[in-house]
Amino acid sequence: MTVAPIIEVEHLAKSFGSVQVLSDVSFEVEQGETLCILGGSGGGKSTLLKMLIGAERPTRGKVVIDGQDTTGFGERQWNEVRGKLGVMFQGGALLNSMSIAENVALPLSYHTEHDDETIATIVKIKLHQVDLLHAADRRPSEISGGMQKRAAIARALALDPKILFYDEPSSGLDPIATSLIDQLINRLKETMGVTNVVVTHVVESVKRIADHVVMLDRGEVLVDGDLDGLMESTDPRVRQFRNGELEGPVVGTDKPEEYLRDLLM
Amino acid sequence: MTTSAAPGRKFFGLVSAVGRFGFQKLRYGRSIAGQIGSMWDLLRRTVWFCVRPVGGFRKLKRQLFPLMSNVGVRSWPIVSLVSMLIGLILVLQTGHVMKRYGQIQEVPGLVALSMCRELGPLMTCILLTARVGASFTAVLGSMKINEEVLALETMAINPIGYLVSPRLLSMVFMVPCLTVFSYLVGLIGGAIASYLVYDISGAVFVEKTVFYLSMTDVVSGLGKSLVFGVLITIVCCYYGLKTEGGSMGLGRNTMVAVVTAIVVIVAADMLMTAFFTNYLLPYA
Repeated sequence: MTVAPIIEVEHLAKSFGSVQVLSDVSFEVEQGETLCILGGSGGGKSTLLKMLIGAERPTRGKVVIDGQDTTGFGERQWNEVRGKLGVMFQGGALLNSMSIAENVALPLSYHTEHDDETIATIVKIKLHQVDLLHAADRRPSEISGGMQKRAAIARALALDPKILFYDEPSSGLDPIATSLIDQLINRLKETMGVTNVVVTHVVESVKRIADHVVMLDRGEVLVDGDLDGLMESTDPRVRQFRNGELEGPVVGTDKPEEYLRDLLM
Repeated sequence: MTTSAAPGRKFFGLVSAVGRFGFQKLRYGRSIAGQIGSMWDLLRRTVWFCVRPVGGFRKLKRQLFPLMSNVGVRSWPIVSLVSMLIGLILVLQTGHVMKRYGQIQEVPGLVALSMCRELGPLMTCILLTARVGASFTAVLGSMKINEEVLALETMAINPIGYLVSPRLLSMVFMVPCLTVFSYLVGLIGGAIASYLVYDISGAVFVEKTVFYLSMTDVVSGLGKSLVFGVLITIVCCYYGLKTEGGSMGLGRNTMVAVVTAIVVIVAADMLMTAFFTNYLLPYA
């Protein structure tokens, strides 16, 4: 018996006016795996993430989450789907007016019937999972960037979601903090069986966490497979990105003579 | 050939410039109409979430008290100061004219009517636009830029219900209270100036105030302040939630929100004054 994928993306396209951000993106995510959506700046990763969490509507194509086709979903239907999702935003997006514990308690107090004591206990469990129990009463502005990201993961975990989305979890972090976040992502998958969808451009992180890789460039899928598929791809764009080469076909890497021509035009 | 073609070119150039100007204005008008429509939609949804709060009334109450404290308690010093000065100015401005006509004893009536019908609600709400409205735009705008609004959405917590409805309610409760406060302090200022400059005793000031002022004047002023409070909240929260473009966008939207809110409340004041003076006050 085959298990249905938890996320199915079929022929997804998105345009903003005349600008085509995603052209024809299709992939599937199996339950309990970590998918890394990889690509350079302007490749369409963040737009894809926004469509997966219902923050943007696709121009064409469909997104199926846990068997529900979200095409044409209104706010109320999306809210039902969002009960199964947790999202960690790039900057954490913690509410600055609240302490870390209050941030984690927020979804619990709005979507469960638990009393304050039970919520406080759940918050402690979630903060313990991300090793942040000691910072429960601090404000987001009083903790480091890495701690903010872990706090955001604790908040995303509050309602025990099936799928966790991470938007650039390692951006702005030092290599040790990045490793800590990667370790946490792996731990959550192993201990809680969460499906992770990670948007990133850090190849080292991808090597540590990915079961499945989708690489985007200029709105199209270059790689859809496992880590070996990314590492062994002979596509010049994939090779350039993987090796961090300055010259190549990826957008934003003009040759010196082209740069000079642009300056003088 | 060239001399005969020149007037034609000039004519078509003029027509094209007029056309371009017309299209620009049309587009601008359409954009303003679109914004008014969006603000109306925001008001409608905000009122809905006041009646059916996100997470129930207990959570709304928890959010409401700090906001009411910010709108009401922390605004009273500045409202008092300005109302007191307005009371003083009114006596000084009207006193020397009334004295010329031998009607100095009517100054308290003028001050009372001006404060209650017009200046009390208007000055209180202009101050609140600068103090509270600007902070609504800045807070909501900063939350929008930091993706906190999007985070609320992904937690299935409606941002309008969570952020705008409590702000609207805090304004609706506190603006009339501050306006009553403004009446009283303005009248005290007027009484002090009347006594010091024109030797009108406190007892005479009170007697004349009671004689001229009707309940309709007080209630119409409070009604105005209530409408202004709603307008300030909706305009300022609208521009806050619409913020994009980083810190520059936040600065621009805060400025636009404050200016728009002041223009809107003055325009609404004009319309309500016309309504009250034609339909309500003649029967008072």
